[in-house]
Amino acid sequence: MLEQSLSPTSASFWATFFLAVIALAPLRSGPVRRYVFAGVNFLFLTLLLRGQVAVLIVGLAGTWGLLQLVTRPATRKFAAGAAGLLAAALFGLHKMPEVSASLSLGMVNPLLAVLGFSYVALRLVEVFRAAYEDEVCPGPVDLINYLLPFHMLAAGPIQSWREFRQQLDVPAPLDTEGVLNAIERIAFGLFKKFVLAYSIQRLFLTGFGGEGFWVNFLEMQFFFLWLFLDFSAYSDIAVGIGRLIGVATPENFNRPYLARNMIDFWDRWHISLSLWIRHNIFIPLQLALVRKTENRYQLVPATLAFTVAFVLCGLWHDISLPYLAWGAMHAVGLVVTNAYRYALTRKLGGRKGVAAYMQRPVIRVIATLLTYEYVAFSLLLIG
Amino acid sequence: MPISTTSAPADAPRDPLPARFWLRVTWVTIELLLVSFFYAEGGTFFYQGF
Repeated sequence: MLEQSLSPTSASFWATFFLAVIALAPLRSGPVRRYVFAGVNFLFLTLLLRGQVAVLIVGLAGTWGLLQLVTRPATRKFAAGAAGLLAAALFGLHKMPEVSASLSLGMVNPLLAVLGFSYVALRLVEVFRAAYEDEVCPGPVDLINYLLPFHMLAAGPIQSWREFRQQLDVPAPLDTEGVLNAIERIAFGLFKKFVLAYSIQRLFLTGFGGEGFWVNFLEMQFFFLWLFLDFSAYSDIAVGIGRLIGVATPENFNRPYLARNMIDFWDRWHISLSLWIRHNIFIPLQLALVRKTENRYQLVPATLAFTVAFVLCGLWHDISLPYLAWGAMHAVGLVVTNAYRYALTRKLGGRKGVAAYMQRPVIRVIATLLTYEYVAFSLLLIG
Repeated sequence: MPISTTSAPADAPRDPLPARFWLRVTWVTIELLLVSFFYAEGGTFFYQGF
């Protein structure tokens, strides 16, 4: 019930949306805009949480206090460690309601579900990492607007802290074309979710209960299509709302069906999560491994970094064997792509040779089909 | 009363919005009508569960 209230299927979401447009569109002062946006976000959560909003206030105050400690040399390591443990513990409670129930902490779960804590946890990592590295603590208003933007709460996108900080204080005023573009984006998102995805779900999806290989193979194609329409629909709505209210909201998809390999796929699918993984897990781990091995084994650091990053990505979705297997399958796809590209580069005499090879129409078609089917097959594990 | 020689007369016709604009508005309207027709079942988003 509470999860539903969070999404663009609820009256409270659309009431907040209209309020945000009316309140933010005419404002031409950066600081005032930030305060008003924080007020809108807070109002949305108050509508959903009611009495429990006091717990949220305490949580935000605690987060801000920890961020202050992270920016001070004397306490930064201790505070960063404490913040990491606390976020991991809350993430665990969010993902494993049976554990929180056994610890008599069951009342925490509805609150974490309302916040969409999986996404909030990733934003927390970003903001704590920035505070640790730059030794600058964000103000409480920026903290609310970054962690809890009402239009990105339910299903992202996961904005990076850097992008949040770099957005213009006062966006350029929207002209008729801009307003129509934003409304088109929202309407198309709603159309994708409630007409296209809904129709596919009703007509073709049975939970892979059909008899015979080809029936399930066909359903696998529709499941992938349905997932794309459903998920990208939410992102369309969030991006459209972001444009209307002048809040930077990152794109999350770039024609993923055209991906020619798994690395390309993750550049096009759930882009904000992919960038988060790259920035916070893959690159730091790969760099550490390259230093450790003194770059003697060219493929080993990337292979290990892909494996760790995408097993964790699977577990971020859900702490369960199916999602662990899904993450591992994507890791295998990425590792094989990387190794194949490495071998091709050596065989074809450099990157230019590989690029020319990849441009060949037959190779493009085969590579795109293989990637599509590989991803569709991985969804069997979680469908 | 001074007569302006630079501004357009008050009753001059405005530039009409291009046909493409109204086509887009019509399509958005059709999309939203279809959405309202299908919306009754509501529901959450797949990725919302995370």
